[in-house]
Amino acid sequence: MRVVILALLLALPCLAGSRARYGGTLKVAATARATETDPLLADTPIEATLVSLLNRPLCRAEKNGAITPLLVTELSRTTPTTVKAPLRSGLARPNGPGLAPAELAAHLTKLSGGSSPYRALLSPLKVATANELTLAFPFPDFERALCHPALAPQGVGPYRFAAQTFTANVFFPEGRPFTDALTVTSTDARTAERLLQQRKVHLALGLGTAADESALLFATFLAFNPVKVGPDFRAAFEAAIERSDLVRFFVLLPAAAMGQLLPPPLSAGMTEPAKLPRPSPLATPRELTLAYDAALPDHRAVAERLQVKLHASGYRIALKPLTRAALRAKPDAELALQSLMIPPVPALAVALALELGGRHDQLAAQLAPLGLISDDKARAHAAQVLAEKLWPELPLIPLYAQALGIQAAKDVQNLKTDAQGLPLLDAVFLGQD
Amino acid sequence: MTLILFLLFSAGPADASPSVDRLARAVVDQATRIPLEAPVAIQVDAPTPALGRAVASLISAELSRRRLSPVVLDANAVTAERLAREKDLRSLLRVSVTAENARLAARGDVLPTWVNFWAGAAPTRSGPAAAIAASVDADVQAMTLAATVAAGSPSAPLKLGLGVLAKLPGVPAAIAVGDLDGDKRPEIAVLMDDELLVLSSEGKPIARYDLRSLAVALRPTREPFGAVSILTGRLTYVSGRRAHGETLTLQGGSLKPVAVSDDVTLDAITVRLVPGLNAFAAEASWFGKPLSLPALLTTTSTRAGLSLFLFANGSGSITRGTPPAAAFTSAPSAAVLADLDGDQSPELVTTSSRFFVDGDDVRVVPVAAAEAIAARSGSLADATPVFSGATPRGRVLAIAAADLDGDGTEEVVLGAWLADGTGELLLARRVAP
Repeated sequence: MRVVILALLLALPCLAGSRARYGGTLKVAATARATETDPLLADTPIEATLVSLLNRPLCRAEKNGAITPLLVTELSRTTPTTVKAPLRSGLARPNGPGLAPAELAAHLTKLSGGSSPYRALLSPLKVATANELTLAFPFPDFERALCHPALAPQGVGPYRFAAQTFTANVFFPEGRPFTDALTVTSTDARTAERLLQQRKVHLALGLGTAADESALLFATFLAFNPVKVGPDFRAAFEAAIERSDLVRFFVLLPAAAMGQLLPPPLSAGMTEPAKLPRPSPLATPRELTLAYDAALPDHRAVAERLQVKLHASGYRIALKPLTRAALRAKPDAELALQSLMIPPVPALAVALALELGGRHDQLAAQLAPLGLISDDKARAHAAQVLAEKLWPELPLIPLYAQALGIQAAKDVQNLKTDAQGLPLLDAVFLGQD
Repeated sequence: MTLILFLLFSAGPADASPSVDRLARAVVDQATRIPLEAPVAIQVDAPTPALGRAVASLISAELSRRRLSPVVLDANAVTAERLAREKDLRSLLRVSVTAENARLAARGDVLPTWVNFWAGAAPTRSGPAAAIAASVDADVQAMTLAATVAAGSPSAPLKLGLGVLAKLPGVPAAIAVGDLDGDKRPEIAVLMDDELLVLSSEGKPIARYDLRSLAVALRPTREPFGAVSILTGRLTYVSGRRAHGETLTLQGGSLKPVAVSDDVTLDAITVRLVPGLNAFAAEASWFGKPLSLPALLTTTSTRAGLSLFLFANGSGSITRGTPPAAAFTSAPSAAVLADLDGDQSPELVTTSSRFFVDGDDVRVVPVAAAEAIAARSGSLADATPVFSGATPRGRVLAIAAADLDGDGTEEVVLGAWLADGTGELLLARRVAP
């Protein structure tokens, strides 16, 4: 009899109960293929979500503005230009030795001196040592910059990847994920929706449903070479292109038109840029090349739209698909579509705009005055004013900003997003509430 | 014309004064938003005479401080107006006080008593009036004032009053109650992520023990989880976030470690953490003898030969000196056996089995009913409670019971996790039905 009762007890549904439950495999459908594995390049919302399962940055920016240390035990200031960032011990990696403080310092130093546009986030960094980061000037948003997914060192994340499956990393310093494993199916939106309806996946990433507007942070710009495109290009673009049309017909949702250098969640209260006078069509057609990210379907669609719409203004545009790495390495093209994941902090967004606009040398001069403003709201406002000032100066035309649409089955519990709008899949557990 | 103002007041958590004082101030703040003519009559209804007198005295003191010459009337709400006129008191403040679900609330009105001589036989009112609606967290003092049932009346219907015992800087992972300093009065120990806190039975902090400097667990739990016990003047804790637990003693107001400990005895059951999981191992010991449980354990308590087990798979069991066999489903997030009515036989105090709650259930279920449900493997949620209430906010994940005031019945200490990452201790004690 005892055996029977015990067997019944063990057979009780493991999904009941009121505490977060461990176990199970979280099945995810993604509407885009994750082609990049380097956090610096894997910055589309879907790729950043998946890559951050294996590589976590030093900290997490929470939606309420707080910072949660992840790989470091704390992020604190001993002076306005000294950030204490002691690395946690035991940061094991699946291959090779654990992450060491010297390696982290070298990683940050390499990033800040590298060629990625995300180096702008580290522009205040002067020296990185084992447990301390020294800044060239006070910059209160520096800790938030360190939380950007693109700056994550490789190898320490809540999951490990093998045999096409993400398995829980029991040594992750924030605690192992609730699910034992996570699998990802890359497919199109229609199939993802069907898989979700058929309960073959728990979660679909990239389905264009109503998203949190504060997450519209994956911003796409048209960068141009002002000498080669001519003086009237910006005015011709503004006259020919309706951003809202791009968003409605050519861009994966959720998305919003972006008329400012800062994405919509950061541009509230900013004044609209002045209307430029419509230039007359070019007398002699100008031959231009537009480079875009070959891995992004909406890049191609938008590039083709720009090609058509600018033709009437006298611009003959040839399209040039590139790998993301090639696109980021300043392609030899007069025009380039560039998409970046913008941190939800105006001063950092301005830094990335300056970098993308080819003003790396001006970063310190422009950011240092912002860093002297200790009040967060006042600093954000000053950054907005700076963005308004830079709008006509930078060879950069903001186009649209996107967020990650997420649909989840009912048994997906505790689905939360960070300040960047990315889901924290390691915090998800399976069960009925 | 009578002007009715309806104002709602809620005391901020920063105000640490007793809740009756805060309520009295809130009532007077609202009453004095209209011009009050002195002297002011005060009439208070309350569930107990003691609470009514206390509120009246404190309102009187506050009005006196504002030079409004208060007079407390011994009358009910209907006769108070006539009595105030007879005594030539120019204004009347009538308040009905309740203490429910950890909130102390006052509702009533304030009105002028002056009667126009030309009104004739009908005592028509004139001048402005205002409605009063104020509430604050009920603390232990307020609960004591609101309680009337003494030990020794176990047959009376059971009703629990809830009050806020203490605010916590972090979420409570575990709670224990016992005499730590040998003064024959129980102390309350609360395990949090970063510290261990010892409070008096009135909720006043006695000692803190910082856990941050201790080695972190190689496989930490995702949420704060652990156990704490107080036995023969020693406090033992284990935390899923730390490499090892410790045994501590309270010496001169501070906690001193005396031994490293990786297991802890909860009433009669000695448990050990499972690394990385919010659970204790299924291999435990019972009065020193090995005990193999059917599943990972989340909590246990023992009273009068009865033992309660809650398992990580969402089931639970109540046994009488034998290993757990029959189990109920829909186990609550927290539960404890407690003799609430002094009949030497415990009741089962439970919270809800839901994960996403903000204001958790507090239910008292007869042990026999829980045993009957377990016998048929039913859901504990189907049990008919003898008392059902709710906490004002948060989700209760830690619970303990003990006779805190020496009245022969046990009180229950509930540890609530609040949405902002802090916590609070609530005290549930028997009050007048």
